[in-house]
Amino acid sequence: MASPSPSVDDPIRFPIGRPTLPTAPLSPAERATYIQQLADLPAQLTAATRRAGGERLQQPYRPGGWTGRQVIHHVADTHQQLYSRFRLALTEDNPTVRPFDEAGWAELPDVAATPITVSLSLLEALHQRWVILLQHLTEAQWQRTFYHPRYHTTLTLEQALVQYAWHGRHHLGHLGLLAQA
Amino acid sequence: MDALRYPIGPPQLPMNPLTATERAALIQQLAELPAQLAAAAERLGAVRLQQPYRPGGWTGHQVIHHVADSHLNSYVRFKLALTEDNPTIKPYDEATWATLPDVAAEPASVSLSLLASLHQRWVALLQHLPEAQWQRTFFHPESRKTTTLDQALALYAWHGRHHLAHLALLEA
Repeated sequence: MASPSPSVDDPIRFPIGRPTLPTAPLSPAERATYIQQLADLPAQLTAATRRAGGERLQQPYRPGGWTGRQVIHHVADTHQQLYSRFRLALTEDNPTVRPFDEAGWAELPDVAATPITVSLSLLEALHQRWVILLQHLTEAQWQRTFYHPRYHTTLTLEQALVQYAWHGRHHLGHLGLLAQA
Repeated sequence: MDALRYPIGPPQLPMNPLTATERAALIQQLAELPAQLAAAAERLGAVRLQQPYRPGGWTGHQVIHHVADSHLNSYVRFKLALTEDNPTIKPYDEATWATLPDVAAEPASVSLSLLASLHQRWVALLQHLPEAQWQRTFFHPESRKTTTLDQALALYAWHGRHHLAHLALLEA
């Protein structure tokens, strides 16, 4: 998730810009486009890591930024949480979700000790479950919400879909920078 | 205790820090679980996986998806406890989660694959924890219990074997 930053449109940190969250309900066709972005992400990340190659994945995508390897493990960590937020919102009324220390998590020892192929496989299976869940949601369920205590925002599942489809493409953009380097 | 519902009995949580050998044995149980679940699912086949392991209980299919849901959450609890001081974790409604539409629509193989990857990361994390980290804790707001990572390790190693035993009941 992007944190508010003073250097708002730093094109290296934000290679695809910031997400624009919908303020009115999406059409089924619009939703299908974002769901497809989530469905396509694991294969795109895998392809981007192949293009960048093993050595470049050990390098930061920007000075002081995460390495390609940390980016992949971060996407796996985060998308587990984002999928859970959908499940919480579908089974509780406007649940308060649990923020986490994404910078601290990226320094935990399994990130250095586990090959990225493990997180890429994890994402492939996780996104299969996530996409099937999204494809089965009723019109009314898309307007269910959760509350994020760090940002003090209530998001509908539609807004979360747009935000999280952006999140995957945002980090894919970072790997694209490494592949071009 | 209901022998069908609790085929290996309830979990036994350690009251004192575990030894390195005890921890290694429990970590090994987590490492082996995904392949054991996959082998049990393979022996059962798709049709028997749709049957409940006891009257009114989850189907084998639901059991496998539940283990994936649960272990995603438990891996997160370890990471929260390692990056925050005695964090309050977010409980979830496991009975309702088992009825969400992806559980019915998705083959068990997807959750088995998810578990294989997840447990690789989880086991790598556990194998690299320094001694002092095992006494870090998290707080469960519904049970009002504070759990050390040693106790959580014992609990989730039990949890995997507990559900593996449900699949064995279906095979019997």
